[in-house]
Amino acid sequence: MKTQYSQTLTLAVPEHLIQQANHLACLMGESAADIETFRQATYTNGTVNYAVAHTVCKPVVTDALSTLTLPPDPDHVPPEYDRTQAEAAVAAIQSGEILVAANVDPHEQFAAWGLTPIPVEEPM
Amino acid sequence: MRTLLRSPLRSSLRQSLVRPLTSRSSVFDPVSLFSNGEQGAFYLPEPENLFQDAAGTTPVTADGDPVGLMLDKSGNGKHATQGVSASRPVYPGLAYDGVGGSISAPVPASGLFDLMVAIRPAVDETNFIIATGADVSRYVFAADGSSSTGVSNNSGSPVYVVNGVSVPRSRRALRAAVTNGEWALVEIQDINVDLWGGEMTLSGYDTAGWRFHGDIGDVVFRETMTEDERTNVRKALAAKYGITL
Repeated sequence: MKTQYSQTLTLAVPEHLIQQANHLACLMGESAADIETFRQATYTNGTVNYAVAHTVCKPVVTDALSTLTLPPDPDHVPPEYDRTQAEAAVAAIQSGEILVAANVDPHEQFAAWGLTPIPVEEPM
Repeated sequence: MRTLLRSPLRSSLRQSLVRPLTSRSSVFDPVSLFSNGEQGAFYLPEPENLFQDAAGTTPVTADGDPVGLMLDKSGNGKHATQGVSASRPVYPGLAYDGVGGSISAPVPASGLFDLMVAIRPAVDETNFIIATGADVSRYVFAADGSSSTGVSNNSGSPVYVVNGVSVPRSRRALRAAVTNGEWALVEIQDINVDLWGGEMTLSGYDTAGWRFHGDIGDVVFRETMTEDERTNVRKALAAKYGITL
């Protein structure tokens, strides 16, 4: 049996767009918890800090994002979900503020985007 | 319009090398460690114990399926879950991409516990942490190339054993004890979970560079074991994962 999760997505979200990206993640994802996909920035390009994610996904997700076509709101969205926030995230993808790539090695892609881990001397 | 970068479809999945040499231990079953109601959990990341979603409605059936629920086989009901789709490790085993994967389980509010886990760091893995409590300021097995002795925090004074050999409490020693691309049996003995907030997260450190990148296999988390019990688990997991003790 083959997995339905035949694709992967790698995303980098500027810190100021984390909230919008989370609403998009909730829309495109599979559970209410997806509204907390992006938490804190862990990568930087030296000027802007980014929260990142890498995930397996079904082709319907990569297809939607490649055409920037949002599906209807799914049943799992929590009360705080806001479609206008998700739409704002789509606009940020379109403008290039939110970085997205499909079917790539995430670490290679972060480097290609000029992103490096935010220095942390040691775990607290 | 910024378009998605597309490369030829390339599976990000690990292939058959992730699977251990034998599907089950033929000598000792870690489930027996809980036969008298001992606290803890035993995780065996094989399809019959795995679900794609945290609610447990969709079983894992194929390589590449995300893991949202991993059942505890000890009988204590300490099932491990990950509700966020993008943070789920991937079957086979638990495969972590070093970006943001983690899975969490409830643990008792107090006590001393042993954690025995088979891990295989990715070939390009650098530094990592294996497990944290509910707060990332509670962690064990911090491994990197530095000389720091800060290998754990808010976890008592655990003792570290890798592949049956005691390892000094330094990040460099822990890092050197495991080889990228090879299975290793990590034992963290006498973890004090009093400050762990009732939760254990496997590879849950939310800072770039400390996330685990690689595969996690069987996990035994049990109130401090006897030396005989540790030996039994050690031998069973070593045989299963082809580890030389």
